[in-house]
Formats: sequence, C-alpha cells, structure tokens
Amino acid sequence: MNPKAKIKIVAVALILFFSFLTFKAVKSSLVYYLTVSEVQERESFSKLKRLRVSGVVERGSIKRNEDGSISFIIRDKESTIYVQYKGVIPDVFRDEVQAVVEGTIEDKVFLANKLFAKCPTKYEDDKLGNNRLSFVQ
Amino acid sequence: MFNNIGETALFLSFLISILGLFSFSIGILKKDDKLIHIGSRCVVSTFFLVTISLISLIYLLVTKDFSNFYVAKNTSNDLSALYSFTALWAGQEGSLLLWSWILSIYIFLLTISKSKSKLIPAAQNVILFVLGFFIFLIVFIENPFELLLQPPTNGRGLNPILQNIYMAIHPLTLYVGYIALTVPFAFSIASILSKDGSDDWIKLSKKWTYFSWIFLLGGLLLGSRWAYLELGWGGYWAWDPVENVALMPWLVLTAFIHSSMAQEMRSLLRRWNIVLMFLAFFLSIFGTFITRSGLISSVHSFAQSKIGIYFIIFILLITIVSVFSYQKNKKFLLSKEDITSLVSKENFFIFNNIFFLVITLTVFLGTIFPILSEAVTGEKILVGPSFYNLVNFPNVLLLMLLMSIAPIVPWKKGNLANLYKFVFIPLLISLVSGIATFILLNELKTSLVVLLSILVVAVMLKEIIIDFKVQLQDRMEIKKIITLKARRYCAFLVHFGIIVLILGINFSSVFASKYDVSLEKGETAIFENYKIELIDTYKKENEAKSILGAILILHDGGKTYILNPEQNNYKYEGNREINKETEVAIYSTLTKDYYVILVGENLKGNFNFKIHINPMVSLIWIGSLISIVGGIILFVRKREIND
Repeated sequence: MNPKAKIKIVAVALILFFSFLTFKAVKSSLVYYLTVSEVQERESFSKLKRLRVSGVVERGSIKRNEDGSISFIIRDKESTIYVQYKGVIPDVFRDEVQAVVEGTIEDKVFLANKLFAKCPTKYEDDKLGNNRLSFVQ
Repeated sequence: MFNNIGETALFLSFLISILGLFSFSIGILKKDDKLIHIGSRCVVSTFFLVTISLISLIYLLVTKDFSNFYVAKNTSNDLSALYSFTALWAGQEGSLLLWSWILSIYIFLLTISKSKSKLIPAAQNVILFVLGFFIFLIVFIENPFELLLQPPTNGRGLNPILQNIYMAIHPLTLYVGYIALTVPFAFSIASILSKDGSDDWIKLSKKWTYFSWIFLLGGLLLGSRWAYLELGWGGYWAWDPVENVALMPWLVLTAFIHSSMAQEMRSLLRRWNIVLMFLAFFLSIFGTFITRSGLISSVHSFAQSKIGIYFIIFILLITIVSVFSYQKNKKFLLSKEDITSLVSKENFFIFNNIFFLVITLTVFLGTIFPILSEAVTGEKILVGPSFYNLVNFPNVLLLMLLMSIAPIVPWKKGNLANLYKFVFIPLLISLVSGIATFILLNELKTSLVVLLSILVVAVMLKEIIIDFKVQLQDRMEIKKIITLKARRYCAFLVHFGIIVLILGINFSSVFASKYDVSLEKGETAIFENYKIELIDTYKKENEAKSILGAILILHDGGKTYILNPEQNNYKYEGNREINKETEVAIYSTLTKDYYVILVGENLKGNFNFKIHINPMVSLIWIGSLISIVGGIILFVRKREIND
C-alpha cells in the first residue's frame, strides 16, 4: 500500500472518530433557547433538561432573598415567568433590561444558575436619533 | 468644519478606490504598466484620504464636538481624553473607519515595497476591492460624520465596562491581526488567477501570516484578560460566539503556518494551502459579520445594525470568486513531488492540519448551531461549553503528541528506530511525571496533559543540548549556532509558550473553587484551608461615581493577602443602561489567583462576597506572552539561513 493511501485511511478514521465525538457532545450539552411565551405555551418544554429563556425584567420585580439569591419576573409581550437565581449578578442587570436566564423549570418556577443581561440598544428610538441630519438618506 | 473635511475625504477615497480597481483590472488584463501605475497612485491617494478622514474623526472625538452624531453617542463631558480617543472603535461607524484605515496602511505598504513580484498588482487589486467595500459601508450605510440639528450639551457617554486599558487596546489588536489576513489572501488569489505555477505567494505571505498570527493571539489574550479582570464571573473564556469567531481565524492560520512549510521546503500541499488561506480569510470576514450584525445573540452586546445584508452579499461574492478561480485554475497547482512516507515531517503537518481543522469546525458548528437548529427543527437550540470541551480535549492531546515528535522528524522519510531511540529517555521521564501526577491529584485529564507537556519540553531540551554539543565540538561560536538554528528555536519558544498556556487552562479549569461568604465588619469566615476577615468597608464619592469598597485579609497557609474589591455606581449614565460596575480584587501569584467580588450589602447590613480560588491562571498570560515573543522574533528576523 502506498503512503498516500495509508494517510487517507488514517485521516478518514480520525474524522469518523471526531464526528462521533461531536455527535455525542451535541447530545449531552443541548440547551433550548426559548421566549417566555414559548415556555408557557408548550408545557412539554418544562420536561426538557436545560432551557435558556430571554425576556425583559419586570419593573419592580427584583427581590433579594436572605440566602443571597434573587428572584424576579421576566416577561415578553404575552406572558411572564417567575425566576429564582443564585450567583453573581451582572453589572447591567436591573429593571427593564433584556435578561437571559439558563436553568430548569420546577413547579412553574424557573431555577436559574446562569444569568446574562444585555443593555438595550436604543439607536432608533432615542432623542439623539430623532434630530440627526443625514447627508446620505 | 472637520465634519466636512472628514466626509469629503471619505467620499473622494471611495471614488478613487473605484478608479484604482478599474485601472488595475484593465492594466493586468492588457498587461499595461501605465494603467497599473495609475492604480498604484490611486492606492496611495486612498491611503492619504482615509487618513485625513480618520484624523478628522479623532479630532471631533477628542474635542467632544457633540454636533457629530457619533461623538454624541459615544463620549460625554466627564470622559477622559484617552477614552475619548478609544471611543473611535467603541461604535460601529468608527470601528469601520478604523478598519478601513488599517487595511489602507497595509495596501500602502505593499505598494511602496520594493518587491518586483508579478503577483503584486493583482494582490493590490484584491485588497483594494475589500477596502472599497468597507469604504462603501462607511460612506453610504454607517456614516461617522452624520450631524445633529441641535447639538446636545452632553453626549451619552462610553459604557463604563469599556473604560479599561485592556478593553481599550484589545479590539484594536484583533483588528490589526484580522485585517492583515487580507494580504496573504490577496496573494493566494493573485497566484491562482495569474496561473503562476510557482510557490512565490507562500514566500510573499510568510511575514504577513506571522504578523497576523501574533496580533490575533495578542488580541485573544487581551480580551480574555479583560473578561477576567472586568466582567467579574471568575473566568476568562466562555465559548461565546464573539470569542469563537476571533479564535477560528487564528486556528486556521496556525494550521496554515505549519502546512505552508511543506510547500516552502518541498513544494507540497499546494492546493491545500490555497484552500486554507481562503478559509482563514473567509472566517475573518465571517467573524466581522457575526460581531457587527448581531445575527447570533451573544453576551457581547454590539449594536444591531443594517450592514448585515451587505456583508452577506460580500461574503457570497468573495466565496464565489475564490471557488470559481480555484476550480478553473487548480490544474496549475499540482505538486511536483509526493509524500513518500508516513513517518515524515510533511505527513505530520497533514495530521496537524486535520486536528486544527476539526477544532475549527467544532467551534464553527457550536457557534452557528442556534441558526442551524432553527432552520432545521424550528427550535433554537444552543450547545453549552461542555460541547467544546468534550470535542476539543482529545484534539489538543493529539496536537501535543505531534508537537513533541514532529519537530525532530526529518522531511521525506524518517526512520522509526531512530525516532524511538531519540524519544526513549524523554518518554520515560514524561511517563514517570504523568503517573506521579495521577497518584498525587487523582485526575486523569490533568495527568495526560502533564505527561504530554513534559514529553514536548523534554524532547525540545534534548534536541537543543545535542545541537550545542555537536556544534561546540566543531568550535562554533554560540552566537553562530543560534543564528543557524534561529527558526527552529523560535518555533520551540512558541511551542513552549503554548504548552505553558495549555497547563494554565487545564489547572485553572479543573481545580478552580468558589465560595459565597457573607460577613459583617470584623467577622472572619473559614472555608477549607482559607480564612478571610472583613477589616473595613467604606463609601466614597467623586464627581463621576460613588464607590462602595471593602478591605479584606485572606490567609492561606502562612501567607496573608490584602484584597480590596469595590463597586462603582456612575452618576452620569447618559443614554447607556449601565451605571454599575464591579471592581474585582485579584491577588495573583504564580500558583494561585485569589479573586474576590463584592456582591453588595444585604438586608441585614452584612456584606456578600464571592471568592474564587483559581490555580495557575498566571500561566495562561505567561504562556501566551512567551508564544508572542517567539512569534515576534520570527517576524523581525532578517536572515534565513538553513530555513
């Protein structure tokens, strides 16, 4: 057998091995990314292992509990979810920001162990934007 | 006034780059040197015009001229001069202008270089096309010189988490590296379009690939250091889409730097190298697209914008041109030689490439998984960090194995018996260290990493010792030996840095621990072998912010460390939604980082802290720096004896 053919065989074997590994890895690390109403609409989702849900933090809903955890409500246009979270709170996190929580649902309470927050980009509807003078448009 | 100057210069540069594109294209087709010369003139003018435009924007930023929309969006009166300057790349429009300027420097350097290669005009044409696209974006879509009818009295300010020296230079460093990839890409296209059967493009590209590699690694290092110091989650890498797209071009470029040696030395893998270069450039544009378009949601919240569609068109165009020219002319790229043995350097480079590409593919798949799954199943599904770690770990081990033996295997045909003889003692040492690690720590992954690390280092040391022994017997001066073997020693230095980096990543991720502590003033908490005491807390105010701080003493064994975490609340928040910022307190030693976050004051008046003990994080920064130094020496070195 010539060296080139040997290399090809080894390469194909390696690629198969890694494809298999990738497949296994995908299966074990899946997280479903849903909106608040999607979670509420389909109860079946709550049986899934891990969920990531994004929504806006309801104004005035953030409460600090004695054990250092926080609870708050996130909403989208149609529904809301009650969230409990313990961990570092991102600097940007507060009322009315877009928050992303990751965790599981138990008895309609979202138990999060990851929390991300994003500052909304207000480029289009802000006051600055309204009085811009554009040469181009 | 500077608004007008900047905008006019920008618009002119767009027209001139189009003129340049036409004269280059026609000049190359008709082999008309005059037209090519005109093209080069256009390049020089474009460079000067973009420079004028950039200086205008910097002037507007530093003087805080709020009649400019971009300035009003990204600076405020309380912002220091340094960060007013770095606000240049805090927003979309400024970033794109900076991007164009850097690319215009590269094409300018290429134009004034003394190289007489036939590939230069075609390469200039390709770069000018890319530059033209970016200038088009700034002139017509994201204009940094937009004016406001009524200038506000204060701008909305720079996001406080961006007011950090690492963050100030990290994007710039990444840009410099990313954009430099355009040049070797242009050489590869030029080579294939001109049906030039030579390996010239590899030689022309070499320094550019080193340059880009150094800056990409530097950018990744600065970015993770920033995340570690500033974001306050105790980690430095999260497999976030924006991190991933910065990593991928670096991975492909690393693969290319290895496989291009096979072409340089033996004229092998000629088609493959072209494909790799296409891929590296494609990934760098893809990365810009992902970070700038907001297509995949990421913790890095960049502005969503309208440039996405133009990027898609641009990427498609680049892909079509690359694939088409490759298909048409690949017959000119047949290798004259062939791989003759499994045990040979060239073959090991092929395996190196396979592993690097598998890692890249894994990262790519993980990054676009939400889009793929939504298209196929209608559900948005993500893959977590465990996905990347699971697939990449065996790849990294295999790469380390290659890293140990490939450098000492000769080209063409190696001898297994000789190889075995050479690595016998290093292998013995590394096996012993691996087993010892396993007994001590009882952790398989770490033991494997240690085993292979020691193997790589031991083989390198043996090689260096033998080198010096032989040459000193021949009465050669040490300086001469080093010059003679410079390229190889630089490679060793880079490899050594990567080994240190891998050890740092392994130890800090496997053995990290974290604790939640709630303390009142004067109280002491004990966890495992550590004792921590809250000495004092304070509240301070200055013009820009109010500060809540704590002073703690941490005891570990006989040593004590003073830690001072803070929480800042910015008073003037402008239009940004962030006004809180956590200042993490870190005490770094070589073996451990003590990392303390002040979470806040709770209802009972106690203070909550998060304490991370991260072992060997320092090795990550040290290792990357060693590799960067190795890369820099490779880059600045002039002589190429014995290469």
